Amino acid sequence: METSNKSIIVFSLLILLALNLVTWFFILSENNLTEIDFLDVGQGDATLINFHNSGKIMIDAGPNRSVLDELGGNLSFFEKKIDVLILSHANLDHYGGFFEIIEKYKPRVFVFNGVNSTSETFQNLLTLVKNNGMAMISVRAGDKIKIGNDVAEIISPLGGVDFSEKNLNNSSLVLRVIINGYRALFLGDADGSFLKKIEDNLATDILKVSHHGSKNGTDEALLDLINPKIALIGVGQDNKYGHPADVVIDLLEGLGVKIFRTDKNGNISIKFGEELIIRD
Amino acid sequence: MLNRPNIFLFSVISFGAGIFIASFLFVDWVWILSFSVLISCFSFWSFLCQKNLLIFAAFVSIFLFGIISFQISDYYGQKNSSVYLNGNSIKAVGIIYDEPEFKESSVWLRAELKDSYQGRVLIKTKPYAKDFQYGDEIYFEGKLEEPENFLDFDFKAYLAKEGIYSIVNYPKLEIVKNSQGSVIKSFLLKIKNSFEEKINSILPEPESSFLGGLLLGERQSLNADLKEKMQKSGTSHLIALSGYNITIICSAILSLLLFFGLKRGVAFWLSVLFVILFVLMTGASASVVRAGIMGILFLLSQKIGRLYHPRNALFLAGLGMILINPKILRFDFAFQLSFAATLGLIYFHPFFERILKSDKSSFLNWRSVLATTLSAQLAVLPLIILRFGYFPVVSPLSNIFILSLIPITMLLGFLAGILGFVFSGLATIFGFLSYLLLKVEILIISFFGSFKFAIISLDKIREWVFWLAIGVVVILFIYLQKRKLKYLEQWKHPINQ
Repeated sequence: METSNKSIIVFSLLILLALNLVTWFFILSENNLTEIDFLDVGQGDATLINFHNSGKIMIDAGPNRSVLDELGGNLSFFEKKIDVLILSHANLDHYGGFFEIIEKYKPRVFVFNGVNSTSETFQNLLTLVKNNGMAMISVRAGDKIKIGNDVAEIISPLGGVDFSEKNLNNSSLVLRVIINGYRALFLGDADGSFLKKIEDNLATDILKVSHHGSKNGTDEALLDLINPKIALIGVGQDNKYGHPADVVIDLLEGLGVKIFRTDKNGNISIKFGEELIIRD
Repeated sequence: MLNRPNIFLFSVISFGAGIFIASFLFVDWVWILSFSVLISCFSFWSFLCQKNLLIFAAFVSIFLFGIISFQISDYYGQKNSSVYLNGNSIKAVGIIYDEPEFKESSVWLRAELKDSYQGRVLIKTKPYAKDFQYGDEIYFEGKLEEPENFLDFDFKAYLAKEGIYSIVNYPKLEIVKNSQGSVIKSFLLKIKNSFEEKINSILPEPESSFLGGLLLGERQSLNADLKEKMQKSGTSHLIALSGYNITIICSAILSLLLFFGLKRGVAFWLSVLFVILFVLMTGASASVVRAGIMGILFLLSQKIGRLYHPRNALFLAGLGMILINPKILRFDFAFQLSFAATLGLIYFHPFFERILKSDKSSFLNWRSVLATTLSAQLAVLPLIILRFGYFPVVSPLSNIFILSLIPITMLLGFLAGILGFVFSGLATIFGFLSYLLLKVEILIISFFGSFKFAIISLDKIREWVFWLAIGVVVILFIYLQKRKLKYLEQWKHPINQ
C-alpha cells in the first residue's frame, strides 16, 4: 500500500513538473519581433517570415523535404502552423519543399504567379493544393498582401503577360515586403536585364539576390537601382552550376553590401526590432 | 561434447555453411550427386565398423543439403522471375505488394506482375507522383532492365534476395484499382501510417523522424546528415528496429496488459499476437523477423516453464529463416548484423560483465551499458569493417550516453502517438517530454558524430583489418570456451538485445 502511495506521489509530481516545463517553454518561445529566416536548404531558396502576432508566410521552400528540418529548428515546439505559401515561380528548387510543408504545417493559402508549368511534378503540387482545400490565388504586379501592419507588394510580372516553359525564371514573382519600415526585396530567379525594366522604385534594405547569385541575375546597373545593405544568397555547397558567380560577389562586395550565403552561413535570421538583429 | 543442443547447433552451422558456399559458386549437380554417393558409402561403412563417425557423415549430408537448397531456390527464383522480359518494353498490370519506398529523388514501387506476365519488378517513379499504396493495382508502359550494381554495393543480389530481377525506370504509370492486396496487411499498414501521422503532427523534424525510427524502424525521411552522424557515432542500430527496440516494446506491452489486470495466460497470447502483428506491420524484414521469433520463443519458454536457451533460440530462428529464403544468409546485411550482435551478447557479454564489474551501480549505468555495447560491437566489427571500410572509435562512448535514455523516450513517444488519437492535449504534453529527450539524443549523436576521429577510414588495409578482427573474435571465443565459463547460467538478459 505504502509503495503504491509513493509512486502516485512521484507520478503526480512528474506530471506537475512536465506541465510546468511545457508552460514555461510556451511563454519563453513567444516571439515579439517579426523575423525573416532565410533557410539553408542546399541549392534552392526558402524563406520563412514569422510576423509578430499575425501569422507566418513561406516564400519558396527549396528543392525537397530538407526544409522541414530547418523549420523544426527555427519554430518552437508549439508553432505547428504556417498560414500562407508564396511560390516565386514553377522551378523545383523553389517548390519541392512545399509538398511536405503542406502535409505537416497545414497552410490555408497558396499564392503564385498563375503561370502553369507542364512539369508533372508541378501538376502534382497543384493537385495537392486543391485536394487540401487550400485557396489558390494568382497575383501579378500591383497586387498587395496585407499582414497586420506590414505589407507584401507584388511588383512583377505584369498582368496579362504569358511565359513559355523556357522563360519561367522571368515569370518570378518579385516581392517587396515592408516590415517596420524596412524593405526586403525578393527577386526569385529573374534575369537582371528583365528586372531593370520594372517601372518601380527598387531601392531596398535587404535583397534576396536573384537566381542563387548566378551572373545573369545580377549586374552593376541593377544593383545601382536596388542599392541594398544586406544580400541573401540561397546556394548549396559545391553545387554543379557554380553558383554564386564570382562577378556577382565582387560587385556586391565592391558596393559594401553585407553578404550572407546559406552555403557558408547556414540559416540566416533577421529580426526587426529598433534595428535589425542578424544571426547566422 | 555432442549433447543434444550441440548436435542441433552443428547441424544448423553445417546447413548454413552449405548455403554460404553455394552463394559464392555454383556446384555442378554431377559433383553433388557423386559426393552424395560417396557419403552414403562412408555412412554404410561407419555404420558397420565405426559408429561414432556416423555423426560426421550426417553433418556432411546436411552441408550438402544446404548447397542443394540454395541452388534449388536460386533456380526457381529465376525461373519464376521476370528475367525473360529484361530488355523488352511492355505494357503490363501488376500489384504493389509492399509499401512504397520514398527516396530523395524517386519513389520505389515493388510490384508483382499479373495476367500474361510473371515475376516481381522494381518500378522507379517521380516523387509526389501519385498516392501509391500497398495493394494498388497499377498499369504501366515501360522497359524492363537488369539491375546494375553500384560502385561498392551488390544491388543485383540485394534485389534478387527479394525475388526482384528487373527494374523499370520512370514508366508511364496509372493506378487501376485500390485494395488488391491482403486485407490484414492493408489494415496493419493503415494503423502504422496513422500512428506515424500523429507523431508527425505532434513533433517537428528531425525529432519526429527519429522517434519514428525508434518505434517503427528506419525512416527514409531522416535527413542524410543526421544519418551519417549516426553511422559515425555507431548509433545507427537505434533506428534499425533491432531486437533491442522490439524487446523494449514487447516488455512494455506485456506489463501494460498485466497492469490492466489481464490473466497471465491471456496476456501471454496477446503479447505473442502483438509481436507477430508488429513484425508484419513494420515490413517483416529479416532482422526484425529474427528478433520477433526470439521474442516469442522467450515468451513461450516462460509460459511452459522450460529454460530459455538463447543460443539455440537464435539458431532456430536463423534456421527457419534461411530455410524459407537461403539468400538472406549472404545478402541481407541487416540480418547478418542482427545475428552477429546477438551471438556477441550470448558469448561475450558475461566476459565483459565480469571485467567491467557490471553489477556495481554506476553513473548512467555505464558499466552495464558498456558491457552490452562492447560485446555486440565486437561481434559485428568484422562485418562493419568489410562493408563500410572503417573502424568505429567513439561508438562505445556515444552508446553509454544515449542508450539509457532510449527506453523512456520510446515510451513517451509511443504514448504521445496513441493519445494523439483520443486526447490531443495530453498527447502534446507527452510529445513535448519526448521531444526534449529526442533533442538531447540528437545533440549527443551530432556531438560524437562530428568528431574527426569518430571513425578511422581503412582504405587499402581494409581486408587486413577485417581478418585481424575475425582473428580477435575467434581467439576471444576459443579463450572463453576454454575457461569453461558457464555463460548460459550467468545470462541475465533473457531476450537478446
